[in-house]
Amino acid sequence: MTRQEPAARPAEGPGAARPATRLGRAWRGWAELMDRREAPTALALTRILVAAAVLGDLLQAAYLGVVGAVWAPPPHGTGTGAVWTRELPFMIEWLGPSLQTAWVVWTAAAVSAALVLVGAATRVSAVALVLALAQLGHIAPSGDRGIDYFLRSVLLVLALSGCHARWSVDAWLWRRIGRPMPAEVPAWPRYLLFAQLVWLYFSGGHNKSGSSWWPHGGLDALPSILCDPHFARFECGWVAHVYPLLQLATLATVVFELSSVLLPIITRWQRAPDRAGRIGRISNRLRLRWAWIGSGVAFHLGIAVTMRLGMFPFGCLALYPVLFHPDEISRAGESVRRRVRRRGARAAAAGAAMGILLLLAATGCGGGGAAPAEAPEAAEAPEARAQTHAHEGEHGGHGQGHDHGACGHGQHRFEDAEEWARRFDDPKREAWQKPDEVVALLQLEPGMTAVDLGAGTGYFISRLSRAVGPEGRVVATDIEPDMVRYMKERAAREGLGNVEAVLAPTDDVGVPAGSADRVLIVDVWHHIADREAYAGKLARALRPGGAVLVIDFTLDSERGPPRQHRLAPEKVIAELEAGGLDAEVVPETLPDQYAVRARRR
Amino acid sequence: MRNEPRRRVWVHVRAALILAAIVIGLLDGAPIPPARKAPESLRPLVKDLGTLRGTLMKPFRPIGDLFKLRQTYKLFSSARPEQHRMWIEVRREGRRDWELVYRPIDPAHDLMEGPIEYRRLRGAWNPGNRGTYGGYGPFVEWLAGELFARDPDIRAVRVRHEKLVLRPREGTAESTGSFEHRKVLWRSRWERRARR
Repeated sequence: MTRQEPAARPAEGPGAARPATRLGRAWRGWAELMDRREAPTALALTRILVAAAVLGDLLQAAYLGVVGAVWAPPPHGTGTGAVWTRELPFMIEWLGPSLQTAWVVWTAAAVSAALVLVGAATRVSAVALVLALAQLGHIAPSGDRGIDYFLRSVLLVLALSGCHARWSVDAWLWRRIGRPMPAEVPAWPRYLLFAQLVWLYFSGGHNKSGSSWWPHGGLDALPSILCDPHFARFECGWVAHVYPLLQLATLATVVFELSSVLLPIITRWQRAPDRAGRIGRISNRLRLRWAWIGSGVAFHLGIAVTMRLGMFPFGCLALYPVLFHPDEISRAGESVRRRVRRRGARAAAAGAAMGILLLLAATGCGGGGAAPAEAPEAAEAPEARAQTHAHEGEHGGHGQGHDHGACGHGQHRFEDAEEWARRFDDPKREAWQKPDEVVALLQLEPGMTAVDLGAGTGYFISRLSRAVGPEGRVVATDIEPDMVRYMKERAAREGLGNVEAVLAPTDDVGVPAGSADRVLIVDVWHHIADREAYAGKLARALRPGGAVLVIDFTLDSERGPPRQHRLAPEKVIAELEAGGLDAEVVPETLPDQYAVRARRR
Repeated sequence: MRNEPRRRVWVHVRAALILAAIVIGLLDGAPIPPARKAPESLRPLVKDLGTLRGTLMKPFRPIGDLFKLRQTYKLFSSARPEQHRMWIEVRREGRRDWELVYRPIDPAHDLMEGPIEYRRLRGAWNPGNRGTYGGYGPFVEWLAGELFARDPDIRAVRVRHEKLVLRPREGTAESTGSFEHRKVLWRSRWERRARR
């Protein structure tokens, strides 16, 4: 299944009635777009990178000893805006045109940038940073660059966004006082920053007035800049050797900048391929979105390597996370974490083996040293462990890959699906799991779409597949790629043509809004960190009349997770209802588990 | 939903505010050239468009001024073959010749390279199409002050820009032999000013 931008919430969307006019429909579409919510990862990453770029630039000025020289009024520096203007910057009016004032404003900017970086009092800090940077710009107008204007706009949008809901001191503090920040934040700031980046390039493109940027002028703009001793990082000689390539790069730069206006459309086509027309499909086939983003990264890295333009390339690249949907960032993060973990495990195993060899060599006898088998766990980073879960022994094998709420006791990963399948798909499980009864509780009908959330090795998929029939669809999600791989192979092996295995993010259902008739959640609910927010996402994933079935262990059963991680059915009901669902306990005959069914209001 | 009606209104208000912000940004960044650069026949139209933009943007000017915002970006809008290379030279006590101490991409003459480079990034000394910027004079004064303070042997500091013609196809930046934007500062004057 191809993941898409979450559609607007029909029930909560601005205006349930369909407007009659085209303008009315367009407006409703716009309002719905601006009402979307998503995980805050893209915005949080942008906040960190932008603040790091700004802070790095400010600290560089201090390190080089030029704070006074740049921002103090003459004769100390080039702060001509502090003396030669009719309307003085307010900091100059308050504190007077002095070297100390320059330092006060610089300090305010640097402290604010550091606070934005760590996400402490983020909204206030971001506004303070913009004001301080604006004051520096007013004091030394000739020192205020395009990138400064750009980043001030970006920081203002970040100040209005939920960029502090993740990876921030703010989020940590709110979690500590028991009021965690929402799992989803408004998506419009990301859209606006996306548009800002597009405009930066497009404006840069259409302002290229010099003929050297165009074929009729010989396309020698980039070669010329690379020969300009004031901007080039190296002597000019090498330029002659790659002159035709640089001409091509000149043309590519202009095309890249001017084509930036197409990026939102190209992105839309790629994220919603079912809505892409013929041109959209061609664009997707040619991977134009990735080509554009790749060109942008190469363009900025090329600038950073060959030209001396200060923070410009980094300031622009800092905004690139907004070009990605948070799901894409989550998936990339998971992939990187897994690779690091594997590499770390290999390195630790190699280190342990080396240690044993050294010990053997030193003592001249066998024994001692860390067991290589323990090395992977030892090498596992705390953050990586937080992504893992599952209980010892008899969990029941239906993992969604969450930690146990805020407690996090799980220590196993679901990387080796074959190994876990032996446990999850143990025939003995049928006696206590009663899969046929569970599926019957779902009240499936042919043609329905059923989501098996946290499907693990796909214990239920064959039954679900039969229940929805060939006209229906089963979407089996898991956050562990190896599980998804295993389920795909299993579906192919068992000839389940209507089953789709999908890699889902940890904080989202993983299916488009309004697409599911039934969602089955077996032994997974207690793993989810922010269950109330997650329940809201479940509600949005359901079609009208859709239902969720939560199966989890009772507080006193012999099987299941440690007791402190179990949830009473009343709590599950309260959590589901907080997300906008009507929930109730359903009678069943399961020996160790209870069932809660929730329907969309 | 407790505040559903209010939320629905807010959704529309917010959508309108975001749209307004985008429109204002586009208006601010719209590529309306200065009238003097427009073709003769289009000059009145361009002038009117500029006036219209000024009028429409007037209510938002205070916000733009407070946060120092604008939406026009120029990324190397032109790359001319005629460029400059700054020379920083000093005259030492008892000497009549000028000693080169800094020149961009010249490893043999890189005194104070870091600070001088940062000053260029902050628009202090790189000349544009219409000569040097307002910060050039204070930059030279700052530079001279730094050099005089570092080395008591320095009597004068001279900053000038060598005119170059770039020939990227040949991989050369040829000097024309002439210099522009020359400024000389003498220690005696600097000391007098410092005493004041």
